[in-house]
Amino acid sequence: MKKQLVIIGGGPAGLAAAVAAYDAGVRDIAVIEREERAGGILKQCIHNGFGLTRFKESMTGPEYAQRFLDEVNARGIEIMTGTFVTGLGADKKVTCMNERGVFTLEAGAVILAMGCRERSKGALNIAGTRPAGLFSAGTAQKYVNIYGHLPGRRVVILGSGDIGLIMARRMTLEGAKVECVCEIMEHSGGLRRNIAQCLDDFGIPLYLEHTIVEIKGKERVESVVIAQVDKEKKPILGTEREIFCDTVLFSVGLIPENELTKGAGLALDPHTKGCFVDENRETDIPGVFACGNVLHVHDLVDFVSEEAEVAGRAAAAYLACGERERAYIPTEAGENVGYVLPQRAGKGKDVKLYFRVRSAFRNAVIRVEAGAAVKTYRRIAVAPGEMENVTVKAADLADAPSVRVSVVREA
Amino acid sequence: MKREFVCIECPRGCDLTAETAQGGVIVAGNFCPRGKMYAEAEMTCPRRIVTSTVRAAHGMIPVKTGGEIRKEKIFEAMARIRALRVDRDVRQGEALSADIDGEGTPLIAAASYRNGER
Amino acid sequence: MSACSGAAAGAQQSAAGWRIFSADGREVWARAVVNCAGAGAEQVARLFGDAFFRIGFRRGEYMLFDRAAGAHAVHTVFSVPTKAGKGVLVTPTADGNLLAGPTSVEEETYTTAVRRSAFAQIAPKASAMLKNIPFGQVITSFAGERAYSDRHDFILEWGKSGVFHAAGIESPGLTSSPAIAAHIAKEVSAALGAKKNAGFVPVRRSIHWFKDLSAEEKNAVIAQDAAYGRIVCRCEEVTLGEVRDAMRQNPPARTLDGIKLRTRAGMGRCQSGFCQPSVFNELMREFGMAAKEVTKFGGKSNVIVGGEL
Repeated sequence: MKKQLVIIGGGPAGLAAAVAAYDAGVRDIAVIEREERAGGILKQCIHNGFGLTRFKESMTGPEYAQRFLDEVNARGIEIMTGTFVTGLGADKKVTCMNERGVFTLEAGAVILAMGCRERSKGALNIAGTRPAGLFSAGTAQKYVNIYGHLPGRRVVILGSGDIGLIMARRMTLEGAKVECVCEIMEHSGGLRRNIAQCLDDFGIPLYLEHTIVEIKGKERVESVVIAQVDKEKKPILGTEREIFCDTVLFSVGLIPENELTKGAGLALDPHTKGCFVDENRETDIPGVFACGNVLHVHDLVDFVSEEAEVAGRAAAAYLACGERERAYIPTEAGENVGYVLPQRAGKGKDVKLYFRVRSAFRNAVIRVEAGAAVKTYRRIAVAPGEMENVTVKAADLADAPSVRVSVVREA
Repeated sequence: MKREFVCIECPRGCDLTAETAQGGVIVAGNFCPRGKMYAEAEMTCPRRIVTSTVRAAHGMIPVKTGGEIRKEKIFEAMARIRALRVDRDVRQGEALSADIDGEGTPLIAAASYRNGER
Repeated sequence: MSACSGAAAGAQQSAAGWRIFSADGREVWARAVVNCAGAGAEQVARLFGDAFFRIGFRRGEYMLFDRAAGAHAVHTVFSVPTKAGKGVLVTPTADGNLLAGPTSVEEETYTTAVRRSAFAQIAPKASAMLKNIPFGQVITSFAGERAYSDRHDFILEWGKSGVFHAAGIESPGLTSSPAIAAHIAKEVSAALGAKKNAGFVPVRRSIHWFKDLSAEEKNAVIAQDAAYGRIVCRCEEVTLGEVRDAMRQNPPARTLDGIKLRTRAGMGRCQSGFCQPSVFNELMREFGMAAKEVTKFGGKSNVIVGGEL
């Protein structure tokens, strides 16, 4: 079956991309969503704080998702729920499966919006037993918020990114005791607001530069052994401490879900774990676009929606005008910068570059070098956990062989 | 009483110290008036929005308090939320309880729910 | 054929045969008994009054890699074996993962915990044999116990009790197991005076078979049962139909790990992060379990212990 535009994933990225593509003129759209209801991970993010930038309101995840679902439904855009994409070809053939069977959509354009998965505890090489009671934070969140099951009553959390912090509060509110949150880095990965409202509010200790080195318990977890780590993140002998618990939550990183992307032959950027794109979010395959967490893990869903709209509009332009020859210049991550996205920018217009810093500090200066032109921008504070962006003017790109973004401390 | 905490009003994250004195609050470390207001509220009457879920016949409905409630009332509100049961259709934005904290704050459904569907 | 699960606590012989019972009072009657209890073979033998061999065991720890790393080794690679065994090997698995290990640690008590030192023991030995092993793609680690006997050879014989013992099956035990099975079947059927079953079907179909069908074959299956059109485990492409097959087999899978071991749901790169709640719900539905009754692997390994909200 032919489809003008196939969007893989009906979470915040897929939904926003669908609306933007429709508004730019595409009418034959299918959003493929594996769960029974669209909305993606937002369905289980019942806490508020979403939409502050975009809607100037603090919304819960479900409310934010509903805004876009309402827009999708108002336009009559088709969402195929309960449908899995099992394969994507470089020829834009999308193989799908649901209760009605296996079928292939021959897409004019494809937008990848599959989101990400959580890094599992197994990837951390933690010693000990493998009892019940160990959960990735997102899985625990699903048990609590979608099904109403409380995993346990005495909790240790590894990882102080926002998911770990949010679950520390959630479990506490439902009557569990969160013994501590351990974080292997010297600083928390989460927003300051969340440290205050999820940990400080409840007196939950945060142990920085600590990790879990062993799990104990035969059938259900009974305790964990935590230890301080050195600069190389290796446990320091003699600092071990046993903490009794019946539940452990792991909030140890998100990985873009790019199995389909790899299957289509697309290379992945080792820094973002997503594919390489230009400023329109077009990948190395003409007519295939990527946006949201599958491209690079975001902190704010507001920017996911913005990025998805770029991809949606670009997919519409591709469908209308076909592929055009373009001159690109590469973008580069300089001092203190982990990655810059897009990895290549077309000349002739302003480009908004997104990047993450490697370490947190205050009074930062962002340095953007485009050939001879050097522009600097001040930031009160920068942190790896807060994605930054800076806009480079078309005029500065004109003669530059590349654009380099660095972040230094103010002199 | 003296307290130190980080202001959450903006990404600057000023380190604030606040001290209650003579019926008022003395705040230091704030870069702007919002920080002063935040510290004053935290020292005199800290309030929070509470989000949770309510059990319905087929699933859980995400809910939020209709406004910030007093921090001391959080666990009392949570107990009331846990006791609620819904077995009818609910519209997003509807109040599932007129008073969830004993001080008149309603509990609002953050999503619609159709009782017939599994 | 039926199966029940539980640890044997004692055995009583009578004219009718053996009565084997567990600590919680469940029992099974049998005319013939085969002891293939691995690390527990000596203990089990003693329950029946046989004590002609000793069993020791050695813990072995493994690191398992993402299937994306499965092509890193094309062969099973290991160093020349010593008395202690084959040592650490690096191998692709039948399911497409990469596997490194095992270690070998003499144990007094049975434990399947992974020691803190295991990683530092496996990695250098593996790296000495193969370059650039992608340790960043480890998805889990685990341990098991390998039993050995004081005879240092296979023990395949009848005890004075009349129980057949298959114990101390050391390397090359896995390779030998089909032949050992045929041998046991011959011995036991002779002792029972059993006649060959003409209707015996020797082939047992894999529970995880759907993903390798062609599109047409899949559609034919889905047309019969829509459950096969729904994917539960996305990492290993396991369908709802296969999860239900595992719960409806004899013996049925009744736990998360039971379903995992048969269908591979939960063995993939996300290690059940995505599929666990769905499998959990299926167990509740199929067996009418309350949430607090679902376990990871039976016993007290309950998944939800905090109550219902």
